[in-house]
Amino acid sequence: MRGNLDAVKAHCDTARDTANPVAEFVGGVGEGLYGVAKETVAGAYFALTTNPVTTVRNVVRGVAGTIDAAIAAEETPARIQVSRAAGAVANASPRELGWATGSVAGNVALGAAPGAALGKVATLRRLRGTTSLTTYDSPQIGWVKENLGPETPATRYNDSAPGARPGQAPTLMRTMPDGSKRPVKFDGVQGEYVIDRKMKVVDAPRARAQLLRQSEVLPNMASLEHGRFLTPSRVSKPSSF
Amino acid sequence: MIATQIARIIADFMIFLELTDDEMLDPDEAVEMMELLGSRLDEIDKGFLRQLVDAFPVISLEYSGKSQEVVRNIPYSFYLEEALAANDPVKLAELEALRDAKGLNGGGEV
Repeated sequence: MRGNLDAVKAHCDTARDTANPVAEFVGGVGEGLYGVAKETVAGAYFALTTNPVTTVRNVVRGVAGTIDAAIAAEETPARIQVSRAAGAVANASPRELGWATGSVAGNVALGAAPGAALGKVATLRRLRGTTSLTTYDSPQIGWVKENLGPETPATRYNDSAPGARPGQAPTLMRTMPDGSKRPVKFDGVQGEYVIDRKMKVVDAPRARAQLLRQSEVLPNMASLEHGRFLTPSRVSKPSSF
Repeated sequence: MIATQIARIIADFMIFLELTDDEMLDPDEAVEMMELLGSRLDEIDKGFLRQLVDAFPVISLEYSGKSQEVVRNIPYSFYLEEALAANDPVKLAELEALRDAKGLNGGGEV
């Protein structure tokens, strides 16, 4: 874990030296959050959520401690990082701000322990005299095992969705009329969007019911208001869809 | 005819995916497999696909109730007539109009 934080810190140092360090800073850590290219951040996130079915909020305590260690280890004071991050997203919506601001490791923590990370950000903002903006908790995204079989075309297609985790599917919990909760699966997560990749659009009752479940679960998530469906080609995306 | 035999295999799996209870088969997993099935059907040689599409309403008579309905609707569910008319914009427009009309009438199934 410490090795991962050192690598993230090195990335932050590099971002400072570039012509537009703030944009690269936020963009770089954001990229790491989704595990696109930076195995360090994705590795830390993975280590914290080893259960097959869990919400990231379950690891609040451990990640909050990680944030503190990361901030303490940084050469740059955390308030400067916050200022830079806030500057980078000065024109962002409150939702985007809630996602993007925080310490270097806090960008991971925003997905894992929003209360801890945003609480620290709120404190530092007061120190700087900045206006407190409404921030939103990250959605409770659970991860369940994907059962399509390993190394199949469907698995490869779905696993290439933004924010996808191999062998697992992100889920949002839907509240049924009787009060019970059922998971609704997607393929990936990217910012305010949950992503569902469709190899083919199917117009059958069960497939339509899935679209309904997916659309119904989104309004319950304050910081996730969009779903995005991705298909391989325009031919497979008829207007009726 | 081999198209009839293949149509039966596809039909049996589509019935399983569409009609198995949610407690026995995760509905999201079922839809994922339907989408994969649909993409595989798109890859079939168009000449053979035509034979398959023509076979589904015929073999649907071997089933009953909801199963029969599922089998009869396979070409509709997977946009197979649209796949066959991929290079015919007039035909595609007709199919889209038919589909929209069925959708407005509720369910969109035949």
